[in-house]
Amino acid sequence: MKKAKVVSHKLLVNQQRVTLLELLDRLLDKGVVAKGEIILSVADIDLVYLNLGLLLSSVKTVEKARGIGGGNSGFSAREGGENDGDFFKEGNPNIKWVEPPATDIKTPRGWQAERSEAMTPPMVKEVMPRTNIDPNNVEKGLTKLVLTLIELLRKLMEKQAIRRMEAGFLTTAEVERMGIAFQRLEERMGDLKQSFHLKDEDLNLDLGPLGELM
Amino acid sequence: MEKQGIYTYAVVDDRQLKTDNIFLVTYKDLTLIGKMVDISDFQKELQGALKNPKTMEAVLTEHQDFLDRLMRKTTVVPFQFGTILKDKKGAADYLKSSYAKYKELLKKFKDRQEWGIRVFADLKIFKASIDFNVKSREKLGTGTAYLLKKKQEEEAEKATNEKLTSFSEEILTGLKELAFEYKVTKSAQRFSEKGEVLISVFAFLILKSKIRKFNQKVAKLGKKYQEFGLRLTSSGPWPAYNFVS
Repeated sequence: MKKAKVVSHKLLVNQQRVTLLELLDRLLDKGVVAKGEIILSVADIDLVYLNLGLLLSSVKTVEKARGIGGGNSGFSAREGGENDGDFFKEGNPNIKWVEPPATDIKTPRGWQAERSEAMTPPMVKEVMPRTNIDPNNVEKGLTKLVLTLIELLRKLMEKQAIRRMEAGFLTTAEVERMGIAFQRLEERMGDLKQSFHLKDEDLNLDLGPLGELM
Repeated sequence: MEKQGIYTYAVVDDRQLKTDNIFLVTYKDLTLIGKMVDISDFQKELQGALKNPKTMEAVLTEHQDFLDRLMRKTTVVPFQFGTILKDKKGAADYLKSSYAKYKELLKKFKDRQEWGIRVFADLKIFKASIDFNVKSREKLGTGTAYLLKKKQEEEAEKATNEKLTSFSEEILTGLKELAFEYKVTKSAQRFSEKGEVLISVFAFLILKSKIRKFNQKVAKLGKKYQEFGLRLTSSGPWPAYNFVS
């Protein structure tokens, strides 16, 4: 029993198998939540919890910054490319950031820089965009939103067409005509995405607790 | 004027505990472990964490490291990160009003640890392992072939999801028999660093004496599903974050 305990501690402490995301999942979302008057004063509670909320919502930023999600996901910061670069530029409409502190950050107990350095990709040095109003980004954000809605409608209509084809309500000629129309629509959407440097996964909306739009 | 608060870590039922640089509040046999912090400094620290994932990692890992050390000495009930109590009297009142709840949790957590399992899938390998029964589209017109292709892709997606769910359930069934309690949880993570999709996240509360057997089972299941592109990761021991309610 004693041996098992020693081995298990090594897994967490020494082998660094725990990712930042696993820490975030537990520390920010789990554990005892104390409520009521014992927790600071009202104004300060708002501040603390506001910050924690932002911390949690920035998890996806962490995924991007750490290059998590390769393959078809397109989430890798390593890939570079115009869109990835934009994510970290000022004015990304998806993120609202607080003002950075004026002074250097000091952790209360002195942080072990070695471990942190080792676990962070070297190319990620600074990922703190600040909100501003840049007409170019606003335009691109709007294009992305419009194309997302068009893509949603296109997919819904395509699914409906498949259901009708399966149900046998359409003649062979009708199926063929409809198929060609949808094929061209898909090709046209592909062209538009290319024109605006957008990938498939960019045309989606995060609906929070409801998940993603598509 | 500087405003101070009690930055909390955990509640334990060990009044003899000796740890440096901590702030203790006791009620009967319960001890709340924390440290005094300047609220303004804490705000700045959190803002720094927002600014940079590296700082975020530093702040959270430091908190977790403290709990790891504490766990080696005694049973802990962890607070959610960022819980700051107003003053000592408030903390003592809180312990008093929550005494029965903490005693119950400490009893449940004694000699047990939380372990987390994540199931990732390499979808390329996984889909290749499924027989989708694809019909030939050679003799069809362009438009009809396009719609049929879309239909087949839809069916393949459905079959993939069903099989992933089925495998996840099998993995959970295989592991939960070794645990005292288990939870199917969610994660903000979507992909592994290798680009695999996160399929399931499980948390288990396990007797320390069963942890070796549990990890052996994890390895066995990992091997079994490897050919389908699934990968299991195990992390722990954690304070029982997922079992406090």
